[in-house]
Amino acid sequence: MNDPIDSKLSALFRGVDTRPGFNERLLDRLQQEVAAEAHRTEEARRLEQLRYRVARNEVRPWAQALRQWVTLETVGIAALATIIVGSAWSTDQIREAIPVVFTVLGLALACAPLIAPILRKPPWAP
Amino acid sequence: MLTESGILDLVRDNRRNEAIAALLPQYRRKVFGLAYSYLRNGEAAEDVTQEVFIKIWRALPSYDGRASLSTWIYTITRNASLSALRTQRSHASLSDPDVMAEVDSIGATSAAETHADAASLLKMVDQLPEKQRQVVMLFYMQEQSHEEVAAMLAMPTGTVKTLLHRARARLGAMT
Repeated sequence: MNDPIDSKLSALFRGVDTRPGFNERLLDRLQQEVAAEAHRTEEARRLEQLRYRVARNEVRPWAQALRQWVTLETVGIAALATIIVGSAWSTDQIREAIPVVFTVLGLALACAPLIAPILRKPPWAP
Repeated sequence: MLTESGILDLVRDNRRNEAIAALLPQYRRKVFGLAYSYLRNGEAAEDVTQEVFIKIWRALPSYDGRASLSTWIYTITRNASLSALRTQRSHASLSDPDVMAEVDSIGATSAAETHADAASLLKMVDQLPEKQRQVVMLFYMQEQSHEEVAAMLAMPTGTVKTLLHRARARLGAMT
């Protein structure tokens, strides 16, 4: 290890390194990468929003109609109708109507998981 | 100096820039040296070094720790260097007009060596077979560690020793 060629090679390659300012140049480039990545993420988000809007427009007539029907007024009318029916009908009539009411309620509950995702907005939706 | 797990913690905390800043002092010279041993051109090697660190920055979140960090970084460097070598129009070599400039550009000289001696020695190293040349360059760049050179070139330590022995003999015959 002590022969002259060793010391010459050692002297030759010991100082081999990048030019001064390499770290700064690299960190500058990294900043550009960070910005580019943020841009790509934003672009992907924008695209996803667009996809959501398109999908929402496809179901809008149905969902809109449903939303138009379920208002304070309609709920009030339904409650009022229930009271009227309750007071006008005899107990036997109501008893006969109970299975029908429960069937309708059951159907509504069964449909709820299908309807809910359509009506639910993602947090980033405008 | 941060340990490998410290660097992985930074990545997990989404602090990749800090992870790169911590990796730079540890690996800059090694990555540059490895790229230079393939490309034999300081400017091209520096471009590859930048590219390697950008690739590391991008890939750090997917680094799973199966291979050691150094092995992973050296693999990226070898692939990037080979890719750069393929795109180079002509095979790189230190021709006479370029060799002096190259000595300056990579900082390859010392007070003990005259500039001309350094240039002539660099030219002799350039004439060695590829693997011998790489081993010689990396061995003397990396504080003469056979193990480190073996890790960088993904070859057994014994092979590094053999290649180095042959290269020294050949260089001795040239001088």
